Amino acid sequence: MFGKHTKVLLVGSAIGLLNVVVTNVYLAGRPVGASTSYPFVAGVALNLEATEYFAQIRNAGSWEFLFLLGAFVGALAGAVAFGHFKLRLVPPLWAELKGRSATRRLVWSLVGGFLLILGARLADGCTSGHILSGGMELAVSSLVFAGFVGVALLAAARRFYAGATP
Amino acid sequence: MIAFGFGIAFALIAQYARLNTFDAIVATALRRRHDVVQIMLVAVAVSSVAFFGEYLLGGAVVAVKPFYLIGVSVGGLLFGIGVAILGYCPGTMTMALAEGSLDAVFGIAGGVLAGAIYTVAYPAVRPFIGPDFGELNLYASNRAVSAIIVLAYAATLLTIALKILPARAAPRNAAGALKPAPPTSPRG
Repeated sequence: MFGKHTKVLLVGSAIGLLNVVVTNVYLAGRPVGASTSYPFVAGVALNLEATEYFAQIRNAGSWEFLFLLGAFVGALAGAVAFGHFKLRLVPPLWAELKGRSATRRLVWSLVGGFLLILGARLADGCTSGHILSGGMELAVSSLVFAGFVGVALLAAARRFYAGATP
Repeated sequence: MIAFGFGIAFALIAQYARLNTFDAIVATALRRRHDVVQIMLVAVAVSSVAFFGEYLLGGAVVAVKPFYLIGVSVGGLLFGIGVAILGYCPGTMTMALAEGSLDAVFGIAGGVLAGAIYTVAYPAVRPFIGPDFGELNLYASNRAVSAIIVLAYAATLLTIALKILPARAAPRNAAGALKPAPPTSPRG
């Protein structure tokens, strides 16, 4: 119907409309977000619940933790239904760019996950909380965040996977 | 229960479109494909208009994150580097794990570690993440002007997604080499 843009328009619109529905005061009454789950889990697991930061993120963190639990269950169901489920330690494109060593991939995953959540906590949001939800609300903080993420993502990927790309 | 249900819905869409894999995200970062960015731009464009309507009807409140200059910019840079290396974002990481990508376990561990350190360090870090310019967004005080701003914003994002990105992105094959441009076909 929309030519080669059909999938982009359908999937993009579905995500966009879901982002709006969730904010309805009769439903969640807040936009989606994911990254607050990580300090929330850390706070509960390591008994940091008396800290100033945990008090600030307790409500958002528990909501986002449930959201990510749902995402896990949904993705598991989807992976089985669409036939995508496959146990692996090294993603195919990583193997192509950085080699097949599982140790190397797992160490870098730890480093990447650390930088990812450190950045998200400094900025108070991530792809879902800032870029999708903040973008929806024309938030200045989120548009600035998206700009810095874009620049860093392209530059870091270019350097980190150098040699494998022309 | 609502959070859990929406999590399922988002994950099913992401799974269907294959947006949650390392390969999709790093290929995007290497500019080998642009459909992930297109989908995000369309999502933001559609949601900005629909959300503004919902807000006018009293169905939603605007909940904008404060603009801490240093926190948002330094955080954005670290986040971008993290996505480039890890190949997942905080939400898609759990979805990648669910489809069997066990490297995501280490990404989650790194994330929880960062969350713990940030929680402990927060009182010392807080003075350095400002100045705080407040919860700003681009809406005007007048609703009609706001409506024009929202429509122009959505139109700009759609133009980038559907016209500018496909024209600029050079198609590449799996090894990253430039491919000859595919024949153009008329589309409606």
